Amino acid sequence: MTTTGKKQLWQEIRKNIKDLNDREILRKRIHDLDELVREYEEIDIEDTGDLNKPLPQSARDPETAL
Amino acid sequence: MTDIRPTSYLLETSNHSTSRIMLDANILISAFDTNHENHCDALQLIEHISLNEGKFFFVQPCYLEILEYWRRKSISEYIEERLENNLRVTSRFDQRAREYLREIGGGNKRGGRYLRDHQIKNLRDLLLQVGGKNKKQKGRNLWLQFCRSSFEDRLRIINEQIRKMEITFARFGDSDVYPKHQNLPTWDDMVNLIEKFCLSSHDAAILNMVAGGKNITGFVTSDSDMIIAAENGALPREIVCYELSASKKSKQL
Repeated sequence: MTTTGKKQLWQEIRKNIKDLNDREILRKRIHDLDELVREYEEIDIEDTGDLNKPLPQSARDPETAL
Repeated sequence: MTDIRPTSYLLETSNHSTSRIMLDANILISAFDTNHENHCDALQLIEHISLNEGKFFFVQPCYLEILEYWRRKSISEYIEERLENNLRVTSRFDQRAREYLREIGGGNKRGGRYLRDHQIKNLRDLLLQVGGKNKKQKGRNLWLQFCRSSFEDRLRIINEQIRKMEITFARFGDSDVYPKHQNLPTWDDMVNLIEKFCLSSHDAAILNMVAGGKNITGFVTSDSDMIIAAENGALPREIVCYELSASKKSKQL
């Protein structure tokens, strides 16, 4: 490959790396879960075991999560 | 003893046709993460040597570290984006996720500070509880969709860029770095590196494979553990160890 060709390839690599980290692209995917979350909300709360109740203090201690 | 030199030494050289350089995981990790403090320096270094005919190699434990880093980064960023946009999953999940992100700190420019494995497992378990005992599939579906949306094509894109950069994945037996019928690095040598320098098993495996590679001229790392081990006999003297530390310019970005 010529030097010019290599330099063009590197421009492409740099653009791809920028896109890889682009939060705008990530933002487009954040609604992927919405339908499933809505479905969950329709489930009888007794069936789910009251998941929306806040966590007890002990369960929030990161050390106990190890 | 192995020479330890700054990577600026490599940038000053314009002919790398005889350079055969092994890259540490942290160099490739920072090259791909634009939030990483070493990002600009790592990418500039790889580009410079590549444009000047140098050859790069990396080994399996290095690849595993890259994948692990991007696993943690992808999940962390996806959760963070949802929370910042006030999209709820369950109160417990959202609450726990906020706590974890606060613990690791860093905000949008978190520079390598992502959720840890045990935190990801705990969040996964909170998703798996959705649906309760009788409808477990609900929670599973949620977790599986969560994985798909977090990663999408990211790991494939990384693999593609590594190929385009012509960084060779050096495997035992199928490259000129580890030719068949030659003495290959052993587990005993690796264990010895852990005991001698208190290296992590991944670091010891990488350094052991660098030391046992044929015709390797240099090793680039930003890990102080690796530098200390290299300057105390972990690498043969014909391999130069190049240390990449964040330049002031990179730190400001």
